[in-house]
Amino acid sequence: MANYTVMNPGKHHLGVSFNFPPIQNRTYKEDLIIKSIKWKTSTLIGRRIYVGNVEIVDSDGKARLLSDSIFKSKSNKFDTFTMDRRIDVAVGDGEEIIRLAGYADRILQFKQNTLHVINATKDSEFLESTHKFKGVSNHNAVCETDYGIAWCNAHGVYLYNGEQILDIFEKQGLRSISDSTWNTFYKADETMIGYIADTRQLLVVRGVTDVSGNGDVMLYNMVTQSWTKATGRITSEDKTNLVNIWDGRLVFGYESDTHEITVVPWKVDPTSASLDVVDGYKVQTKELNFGTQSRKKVSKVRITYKGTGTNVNVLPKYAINGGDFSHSFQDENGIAISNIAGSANWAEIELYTDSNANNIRSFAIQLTDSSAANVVSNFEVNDITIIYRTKSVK
Amino acid sequence: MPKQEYQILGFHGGINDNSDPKDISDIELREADGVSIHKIGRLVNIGNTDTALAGLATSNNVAADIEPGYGLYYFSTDYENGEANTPEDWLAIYDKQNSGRIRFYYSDKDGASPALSSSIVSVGAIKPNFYYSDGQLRIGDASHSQPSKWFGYIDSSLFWTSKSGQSTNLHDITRWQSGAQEFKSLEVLLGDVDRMFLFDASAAGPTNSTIHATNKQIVLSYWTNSNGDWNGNYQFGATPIYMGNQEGPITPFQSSLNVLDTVSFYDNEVIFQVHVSSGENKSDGITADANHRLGDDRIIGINFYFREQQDNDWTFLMNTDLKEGGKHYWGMYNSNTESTYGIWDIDNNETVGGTPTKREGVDIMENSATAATHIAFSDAAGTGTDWEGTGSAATQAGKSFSKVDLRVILDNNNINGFGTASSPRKGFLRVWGGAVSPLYVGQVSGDSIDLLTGIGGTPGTTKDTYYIPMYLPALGTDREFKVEVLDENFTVIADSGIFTMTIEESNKAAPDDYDQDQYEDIR
Repeated sequence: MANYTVMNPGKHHLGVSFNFPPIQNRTYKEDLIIKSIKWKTSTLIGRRIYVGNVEIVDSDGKARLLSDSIFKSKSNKFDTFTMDRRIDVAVGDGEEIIRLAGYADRILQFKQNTLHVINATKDSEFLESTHKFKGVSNHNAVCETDYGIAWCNAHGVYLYNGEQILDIFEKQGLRSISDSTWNTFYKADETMIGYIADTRQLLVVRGVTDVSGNGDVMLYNMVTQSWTKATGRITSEDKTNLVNIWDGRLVFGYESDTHEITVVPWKVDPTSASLDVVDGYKVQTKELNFGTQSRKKVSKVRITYKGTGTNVNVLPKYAINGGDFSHSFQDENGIAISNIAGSANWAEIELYTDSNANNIRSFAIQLTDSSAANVVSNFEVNDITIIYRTKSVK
Repeated sequence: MPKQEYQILGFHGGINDNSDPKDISDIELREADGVSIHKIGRLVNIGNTDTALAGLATSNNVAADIEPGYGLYYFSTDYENGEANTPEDWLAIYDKQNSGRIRFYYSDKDGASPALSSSIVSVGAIKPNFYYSDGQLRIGDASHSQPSKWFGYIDSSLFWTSKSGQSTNLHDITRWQSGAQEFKSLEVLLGDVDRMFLFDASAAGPTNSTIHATNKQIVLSYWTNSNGDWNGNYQFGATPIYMGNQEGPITPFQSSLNVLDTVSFYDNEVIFQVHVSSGENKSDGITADANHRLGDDRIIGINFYFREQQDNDWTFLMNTDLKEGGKHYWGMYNSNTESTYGIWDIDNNETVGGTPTKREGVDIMENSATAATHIAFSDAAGTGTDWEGTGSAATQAGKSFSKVDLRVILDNNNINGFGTASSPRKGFLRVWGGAVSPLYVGQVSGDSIDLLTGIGGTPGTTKDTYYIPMYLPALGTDREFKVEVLDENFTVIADSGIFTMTIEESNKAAPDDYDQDQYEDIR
């Protein structure tokens, strides 16, 4: 029976000859070999991959857990890691690497409490800066955007733009989201963040396990640098991480049935009037004093809005002098308004106050979903006008 | 006081619940639940989840148990699910059930039928992390419990047999494939420590006793010539080269575990040829998409190393490219019938004057049947005696710097492995002893030096005669002459042996040396 081989060079008994042993050639560096590597996180910068929090098997077959170490691949060799390409910027600090992220030529090494910014401009990486209280608890608390790297932790939400770290709860030096709001929302080890490329927004999802409230979200508009939030806007079932797919849409999977997955994108604008209704709608204006602490009478509020359906299921109320939103508006006949009629086109509704809005110092408006139904999906407010009269100072 | 209007025209300040409600900006809101402010001047409802990706909807009942917080990764490839070379977008999906696996959803970029691919990577119970580069997805386990894996499309035309190797190669692997990310050693990939052989092919190539019908094997054949500088006892090792020219661990050639093969050389030139067993009883290559013969579809080459027996460090010897294979590409080899193919075969019964010849089928003497003869010089193609000095027969002298033709008769009795009559393998003659020495000859009067001799008559029987134009050297006694036959890689495969002739003064000028500067000026 014939047994076959393929031979090289490809002619019979033709070889590659050596007159002498080529001892000037390179040697095989056996002691630098990493036989296998398991990594917790990775980031690609240029033509190198950096992996962090690794378990390696070295040339002697010894397994070693290096939770503070980064290994970089050789250039263009994305599976080749050697012992001489290890990067340690902080070891034995009681923390481990949770996530690596790359932006331009910087590596952001997130540990539980601390962020290390590593400069990878040159062949030899070096620690550029260390930031306490900027670490993350889980790998999904970090996302890449075209503005930089965004992340969240128990203290807030941050953006690294290649030059500095911005606390995006702050605007012009003033914090806009209160500690209590964030502490109520944030869940350690679960809260994750994603980037909505279409509208340049950050979507922060409260949790990934099947627990009530884990479908709550916060939304940061990077253009206007401002926040909104929503309750139960996505499912509270078990969820995957958030990823941007081929068309930039932000998607995640959730357990739609036992051991089954459904993958859905985030939709910027609700479109289905019936399906995209908003539960937990609540908008409150600032406490308006109209530029003076003098007493005044607010007689009427005019809202320009639109929204289809018989009613848009919005209940307007008002508060006075910093109190609760316990006061109902009335129509021109003095009947309390409990809903707003639907209108496909821009419409105005006039909301009359009662005697409670007389002799007041401040006034605020609240729009909530009516008790019977959720707010229709396409409800929009264009502007709010308050008609008032300032009283003479006595 | 008259009535006044106070307008709130913008809401894009968003929530500010950290300051006193009286002190926030007009465009800020104390609460902004369920709204989005991405449209300046309008307060619109916040978005929510859209219709599920086609094929990944609830109604599709896609089996994939979620590991919360993990499992999705987007990547794009140059190949689509059906293996056409067109771009495709993918979503890797981890399924914690079914022993832990990664499934792949493709967007069907050129069509409208996104679906789940049949490709599956078994990964075990992991917290998946991914990275993607150069066409391959890597899947790691953030909990460090399972080994890292890879997934990608392999488009490998292995073992080219010509420059048109994309279509004339011996093994094609074109398929979606996955495996361990770790670069395994050849010892592991081949399945045992004794699947790598050092084979002395001086007399014959490896036979069926070495080449197994189905086992994965690497055979490093070697043979030697004299006049080299390999001295000592040497060991050899090999590493697999993976895509991206990434090198795996080294494995020594060993006959059994930790018993390394050692070869002794003494003033040798050493010649190497590599064999990789095909594992199939097929003479025309390896079945397309059969498993890679070295055990990992990512392997594209082998690096060979050597070291002296007492050394620890391995030094690089050579690379064998599993694709193009270098200048002479790859060929098939039948270990049952072709072990002596390509070995220049002399007539063992050939004698001169009753004495067995050592001319190895390369005859440069005037009368090969007579001992008392001289080197076969002539003025031109076998005629003319102007080159002759004094003496005759075995004592015939030549005149210095005479232009002569040296008759060389080649007689290779082996007709196998040297090509065909229409396409014979071509070699070179190396002539020692002339005014220019050595003299390399690839063609004589337009005729190439065929290693398959006797094409004009009966191959293997008829002898080929060449007249090599050259100049005799300067005067001297017992000037040595020798002709060697070289193969395509300039390795000596036959040798006429050394013959001497006295050269007398002719008063002729020596031929001009090659003048590099003059050549460059002319050019």
